[in-house]
Order: sequence, then C-alpha cells, then structure tokens
Amino acid sequence: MLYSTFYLGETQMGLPIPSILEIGRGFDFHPVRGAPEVIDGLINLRGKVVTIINTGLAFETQKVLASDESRVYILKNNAELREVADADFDIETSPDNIGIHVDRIADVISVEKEELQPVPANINHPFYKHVVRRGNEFIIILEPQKILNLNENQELLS
Amino acid sequence: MYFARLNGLTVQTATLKNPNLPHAISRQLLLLVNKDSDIFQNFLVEMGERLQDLEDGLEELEQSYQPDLINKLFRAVHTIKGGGGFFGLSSIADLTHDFEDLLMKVREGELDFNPGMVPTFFAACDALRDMHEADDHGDSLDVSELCKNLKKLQEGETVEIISEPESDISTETEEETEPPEVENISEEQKPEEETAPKEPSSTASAPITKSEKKGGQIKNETIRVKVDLLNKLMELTGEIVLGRNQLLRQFSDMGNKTTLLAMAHMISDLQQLVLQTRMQPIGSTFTKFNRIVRDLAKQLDKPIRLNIKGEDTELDRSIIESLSDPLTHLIRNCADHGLEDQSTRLANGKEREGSIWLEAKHEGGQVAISVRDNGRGIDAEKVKAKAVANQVISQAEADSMGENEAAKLIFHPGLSTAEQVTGLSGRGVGMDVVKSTFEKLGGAIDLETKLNEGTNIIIHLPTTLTIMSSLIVRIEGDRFAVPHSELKEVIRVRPEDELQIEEIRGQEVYRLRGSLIPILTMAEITGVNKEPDLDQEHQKSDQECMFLVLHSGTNQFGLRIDSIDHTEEIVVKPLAQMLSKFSYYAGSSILGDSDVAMVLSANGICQSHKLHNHELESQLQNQLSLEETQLIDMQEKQDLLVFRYAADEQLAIPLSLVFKVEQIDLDSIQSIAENHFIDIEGRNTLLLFLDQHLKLKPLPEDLKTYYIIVPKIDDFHVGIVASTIEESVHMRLNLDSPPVADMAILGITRIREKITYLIDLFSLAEKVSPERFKSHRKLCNPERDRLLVVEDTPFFRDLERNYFESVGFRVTLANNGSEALDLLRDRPNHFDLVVSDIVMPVMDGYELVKHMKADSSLQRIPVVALTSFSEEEHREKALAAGFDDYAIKTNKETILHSVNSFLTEE
Repeated sequence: MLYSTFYLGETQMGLPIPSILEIGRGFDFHPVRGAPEVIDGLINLRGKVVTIINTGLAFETQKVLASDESRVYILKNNAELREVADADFDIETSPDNIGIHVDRIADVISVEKEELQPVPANINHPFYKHVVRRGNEFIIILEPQKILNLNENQELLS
Repeated sequence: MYFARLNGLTVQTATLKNPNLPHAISRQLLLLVNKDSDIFQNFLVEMGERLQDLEDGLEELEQSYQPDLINKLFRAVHTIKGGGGFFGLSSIADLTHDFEDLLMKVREGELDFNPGMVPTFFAACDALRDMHEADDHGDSLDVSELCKNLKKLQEGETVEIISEPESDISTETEEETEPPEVENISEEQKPEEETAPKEPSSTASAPITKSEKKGGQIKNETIRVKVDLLNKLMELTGEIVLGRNQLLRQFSDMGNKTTLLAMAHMISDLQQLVLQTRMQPIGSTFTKFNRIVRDLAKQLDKPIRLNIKGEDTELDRSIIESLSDPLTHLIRNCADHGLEDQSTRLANGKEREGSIWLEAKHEGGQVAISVRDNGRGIDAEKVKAKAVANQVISQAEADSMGENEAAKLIFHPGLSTAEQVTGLSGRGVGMDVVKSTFEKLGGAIDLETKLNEGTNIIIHLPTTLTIMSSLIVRIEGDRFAVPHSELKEVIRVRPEDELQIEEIRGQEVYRLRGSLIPILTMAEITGVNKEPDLDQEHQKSDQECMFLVLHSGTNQFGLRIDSIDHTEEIVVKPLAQMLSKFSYYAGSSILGDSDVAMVLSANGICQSHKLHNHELESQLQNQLSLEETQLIDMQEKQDLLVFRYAADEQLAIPLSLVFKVEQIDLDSIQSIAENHFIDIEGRNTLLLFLDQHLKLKPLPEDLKTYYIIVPKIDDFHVGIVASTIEESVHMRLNLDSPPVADMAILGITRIREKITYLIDLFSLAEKVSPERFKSHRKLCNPERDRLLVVEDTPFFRDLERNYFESVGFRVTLANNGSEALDLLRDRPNHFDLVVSDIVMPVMDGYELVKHMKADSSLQRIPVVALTSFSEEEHREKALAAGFDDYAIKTNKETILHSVNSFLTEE
C-alpha cells in the first residue's frame, strides 16, 4: 500500500493514502477559546468546518508552527472511508473529518505488508501502528482511526 | 396507494376467517413479506396516519354527526383492514372487519347513527392504536369482546361501555360465564357474512373514490419524501446561503450587480421554502393528547376536558418529534397533581370537570406552547420546605423567594410535590428532564402558578434549528456568533453614565432596570485567559465597555464584548465530537467572509456556570445593605428628548410621551388667523409655539425648517415647534423645582452641562385647552380622598403627585411595595386608594396587591396599577393579580378617570 510520509521534527511518519482526503496548506486556523492547546483550531474546508490537531503537541514533541512548509492532512471521515472500503481498514471511526498539522511533507512510499514491523515497546503511543525501515531510517506508520477518535484519548485533550 | 392494489388479497384473507387459517395465511405471506421489509414499514406509517384520521374523525363525531364523517372513518378503517389482512395481523384484521361492517351499515343508511355508538368506536380505535404500537402488532391481543360489541351495534342493539382499555376487556371476558361460546357464535356468524363483504366493498369503492376526489380539491396534494433527502436538501441549501453571503461580500464594491442580487433574493426564497418543507403543524402531536387525557381521566376517575388551540402552528420536524415526551409528562402532571379530584373541586366551588389547556402560538419569532390547568396550583411553601429539606436551597434563600420563583424549584432534580407517589407521576424525576429536553432544543421553560387557581407552564421554542439570524461580535480578538433568539439587548456603558458595571465579591454585575445581572467575560466562561493585547483593546475598556444581555429562559446575564461586527444568517454546524464537551458553544459556523466563528449558547453558558436567578439574587440580597437599595433608587433613569426653542435655551420632554418628530418646511404651514396648521399623516395638526405659553425667548428669525414634536397624549393633537433637536439622552434625572411657578415646567435639570427645562406636557395641554383638560377637576372630596402613590422612579413619582395634587387629592408617596405596605399597615384607615407601579425593586406591585388583598384591614382599599406597559396581556395579568384597575402612566386622562371612578362610587 502507498503511504504519504511527513516529518514531525526529525521523525518521519506515514499515513495510508486511502485514509487521506487531501493535504493542504495556508489555512487560517480559527482558535476555539477554552479548547485544549492540542487543538490548533477550526478551518473552513470549502464550507465544511474541520477541527485541526497539532500533531506535535499530540506526540508531546515540539508544537508545529504554521509556516510555508507546514501542511495539514485532512483525514477522511466514516462515510468517506467506507467508499474506499478495503480489508485493511476496519472502519468504525468518526463522523467528523479531522485535520492534523505537521511540520513538513515528505515522499510517498510503497510498503509491502511483510515490511510492517511492530512498534518497539519503548516508543509506544496510541497513534502508532507499525514501524517500517527504509535504509537507515525508521518510519512510524500511524493509525488513522485512532487519530479520528481522539476524543477517546481524553488524556491527550487535557 | 398500493393498498388499493392489494385489495384483492385483502378480501381474500378476510374471507378465510377460520381462527386457524389466518395463521396459515400469514405464514405464507410472511414468506413473501418480511415484517422488517420496507413495505411493512410503509404499512405501519400508513396505519399511523389512518389512525390519526380515525381519531380526528371520532373527535368530530363526538361533537356532531355528519354523514361525511362516517365516510372518513370508513375509509380509514378500510385501509387499515386491507393492510392488516395482507400482513396477516389477525387481530387488527378481525377488529377492523367488524368495525368496517358497522360503519358501512351506517353509511348505507341501513342503520341509524346514534351517539351511543361513539364510545365503542373510541374503544376500537384505542385498541387499534395499541396494536399499532405493540411489538407483535396485536397478535396476542384478544379483541373478541370488542368485535362482539361492534356486532351488537350492527344488530341495532345498544352496548354499554364501561371501560375500554384492553386490560379491562380481558378481565371482563374472564367474568363472562361462557366466553368460548361467545366466540363460537361470532365465528358461526361469520361464514354468512364472509361472502357478503366482497360485494359491498366492491360497490363501496365507487363512492370512496368520488369523495376522495372531492377531498383532493380542497386539501393540498401531498407527496411523501424521505426525511433523509430533506435533510440533505436542507444542508445543501445552507451551503448555498453561505456561498451567497461570500459572493455578496466579494463583489460588494462592484458597480452593477443586478443579477447577483436577483440571485441572492432567489436563494433567500429557496432557503425559506426548504425550511418550510421541514415544518410541520404541531397538531399531530397535540391531538394524541386527546386520547391520553381520556385514558388519564378514566384511570384517575377525574372528568377532564382538554382544550387544544393553535394546532396549525408550524415547527421544525426535528423539534416536533422531541416534543411529545416532555409534553406528555407535563399533561400527566396536570391531570395527576394539578387537577383535584371531583369532590375537592366541588368543595372548592369549582366546576366538577377539570380543564387542561394546550396551546401553541407564534410569539416574536419563536413558538410559545403553554400547558395550563385550573387545578390546585403549586404550593410554593411546600416546595420550599421540600427544597430546604433536600438541601437544594438554604432557609435564607427560601425566605427571600417569591411564589413563582419557588414553584420553579420543581425543575430541580429530586423534587416532587406529590405526597403520594402514583403510578403516573410523582416519582421525583421528570421535571428536570422535561426542562433539559426543552433546553436541548434551544428552548426555555417558564412557570406561573397560583394556589387553588392553577398552573401555567410556558415553553418557548425556536421554530427551526438550522439557520439562525445571529449577531457577530468580537470578543478579545476572536469573532463569535450569538443567535438573536438568545440575545436580549446590547448595552454600552460610557464613563459618564450613572450606571456602571459594579463588583460584588469579585463578580461583575450590572443593574438592568432594577434587576441585577451578572456580567461574564469570555475568559471566565472558557477558563482561558488570553494574553492581554496591550494595545487599544484594553485601554478602550477603561473608557467605555459594551456587553450583550443574553437570556436562557428566565435567566439573564451579560457578556462583555469588544465590538459588534454585523448581523448575519448563519448555518450552525455541530461541533466535532472532541469539542462537544464545551457546552458553551452551540456549534461553529462559516461566515460570509469564509471565516469560521464559534456560535455561543446562552443555555450552555448558564448551565456550565450554574447561573440561576434565585441563587444570584439571594447572594446579592445578602450583600446589599441599605445603601445599596438607596442606590437602586438613585439610579433609575429616564429617556429624554432634548431640543431647543430659542437658540440658547435647552428644553426636554420625556421620550415616552413623544409620538413622533418631523422636520417641516415653513412653506407647508397654513394659517387661519393666529392659528397655524400642518398636515401630519393626514391630520391637521395645530402648531404650538412655546413662547406663547411659557416664559421663553422667541424662535430664531432665520429658520427655514421647523422641527415638530408630536406628543403622545389623547385629545391633544398639537405639534410642538422646535428650532433644533439636540439628542435623546438616557440619564438619571435630578430635578430641581422651577424658579418661576409655572405649572407647565416640571423642573430644571442639567443635561450635558446645560440648564434644561423639563416640560410637563399634561400641564401644557391644560394651559393650551383648559376646557378639555380640566373637566374632571374636583369631583372628589379633598377631606377624605387620600392617595398613596407607590412608584420607584423619582421622575414618575413627581409627575404622578403633580397629576393628583392638581386635581385636589392629598398624596402620600412610597418608593416601593414594601414601604407602601408598612405605611398602610401603620395606618390602615388613612388611605382611600392606592396607585401603584408594577415593576419595582424590593417588592413589586403584584406582591403588594397580594399582601393587601390578604390583609383584612387593607383589602377594602382599591388598588390601581399604573405602568408603562400598554399591552393587553399585562392588563389581564394585573387584573388577575388583584388590581382593581389598570392605567398607563403616560396617560393622565385615564389615570384620573380610573381613580375618580373608585372614589365617586363610595
């Protein structure tokens, strides 16, 4: 399957392309007063209001700051995911679209199932699903459903 | 309608009515038609609608018999029978079959209608309704008794219906000596009839279609549409509206944009129409209460009449759907707790039959639903006692509460006044759920009660949830949308204003017309302090501040804002799940400039901040010392219109007495001798030059236009000439007595540092045409006509004293109800009449009159309400509260008239 990868600080991460609605930049974030900092704000995606998560804060690294290089991945919601129904997606996620704000976009990579390795216990995080090795680099594959269901991870929201 | 097509089948199943056969058939049919299938669901929907027709028809039939009604009933029953038979619902089919036969006989004239049939009809209808709602659709229900009754009626016998609910029927059948035999008989009879229905039903089809055609011409044609489709249509329209707003903004500085504007208008129309498709009359929800009340009346053994009004009031479908449960709860409460039993009612001098009113009407862009009964009312003391016992409120709070406020405690979770818990209600849960249900719908609930007279619960609901007209405001740099339905007013406080935001225990409050409201900031609501923008924003707040007054039900609070942007129709989008816990937001919305703004929810803010009036009031009452009450007195404000006659002399009159102000050309004045006239709205109005009546300098010579102030006084159609209109001010009036004793000058004050004469328009009117305005004089006897004037506003207090003293009364003044009561109790025989304002601090007019009427030494004194409300409903309310008469403050004539009428009678 194809994965779109991006950088969060120096860490490279990937999301399966079928789970991505689009990748955009230059959005105006509209802050939600009272919401936790991990929520960057809301954007107007062609008439749809989408909540954006600051991936940096969600992974407890450096906060992602809006820049020319930063991008927003808009993840598909339940209904949209169902349309690309694939055995790999076990889709009972969220009725809402969620966006994740990342530092920098990188290559699209093709990964065979056999290459997916379990996440080492010491870098565990609810969003991490697999690790893929590319040369000397490790790429962390994220689980879109978990991100979409952020509200189940209340500790992240506090 | 496919049931017509299925009629062949229907008749077939009906003919084979051996008790064993329907099952065989139904099994067969079930192979064809699964109960989960769409077709079956359609039938259930259809049956529900036909049952509604049936109930409506029966209600009408109860009132009067018309052949058309029988037709209507017949059609409804016939359709249900068709479906019931097709799906093998034997009980439904059996019952409708006999029902139909009976109706047919009446219709064909073979049998005369007699009102004694109606109870049986109702019983059959109720049984059908139960079967419709039951999980097994009545398969397990025994309808033989009902069928037997229907058959008896067919034979022209009479049927005594004592109780209809099926539970009772089953017990009856047990009492029956040989129930199986009865069944056998009815079965034996069937075969003869079975052959018969085929014919009549085919002959019957002709008149049916005929009458349906007739009906079709009168009724609007309808088509059934999937709700899902409507929702999508609605959503899409919302997007189009947004798109339009954005386009309009984008092209706002383009020259010719006729096409765009035309399209924008069409989109508005489209939006309206789409909104309407989701609107439904509330009637269907209301009429089902007829049955509920009928059942309740039976169960509780209380005769109850349900009066329904405003069934055609339209509301959004989604709102109507959620109304049924809470309204049922309220109606049950009325029947169970509200209305007394027959003997108690008779003992209290009420009619035996209790009444419940269920009314809906449009009111200021919202829909108001009221559920009212004429029962015992809510005993405020009991509720208080219970609330104190349950530690919902403290004793001190309880003592400071008025009757209605205390009664509202029943909305608190865990309070129920019923001493005996019945099966229906009184379990101490419910009212709080009712309240929160309405609040979830964006509505609010209010309650009025009077011991032994009844309770009125009023629910205000928005007509639609999706598109809302909103005010866009800026708060600390962010934009927020505030729905107009929750917004009461916007108040700007300038440093020179008398009324400032004050602080009590670190909480900002503001005195809004005598009541204190808390002022919140966004930081308090969200718990997030924005790093202060050190620029203008902050400095501005030192000079001037603005806040919105929002309300949720009877709760009011202020919200500090920086500025107002504009008004916009917004589509509220629900928040993403992860944000849904922030209840102070109702959602988000995309504005015309494609910006995203959060939509604030007054209900949510109230809840998350636990703002409840009585808590705040009591908290504040503990805080407020004597000096505070004096402060209220001092801070009453007046709206004045400031104008000039001579260039350097400033004059003012109360704005409430001004009908209109117009600018006129000197050319348009016509004169006859000394009198000058002008045409204002088709009426020849006499111009009044003030220097002819007051000691004032003349008008400047070089004027090209005059301003004409037309006062709002009956029979005084003059235009007061002014050279310029300065402004209208909202200020505390500090009135000094006039230097020269001139009746027409109320006093002197300072407005914007200029000495200003305040003109007493009534005295002026007297001066101008004494014969008309002094006619009531001295009707009374100054020896005994001692008046107590209760009024909190110094301005009106003086004005009223002026009125009364000018015609010879002896006047005593009181600042509020409590003061008045003290005076009255001190010297009960000292006063002949009380003239009281209604809205006052400490103790209002309603309370005062209640206390007076409850006091044997004071109840003989007539009380006249004097208010600035002119609406009829306030009048009714005042008279209901015990006032003997009602007059509008600014109308001297009616005041004197009503006062005189009380004093001359004696």
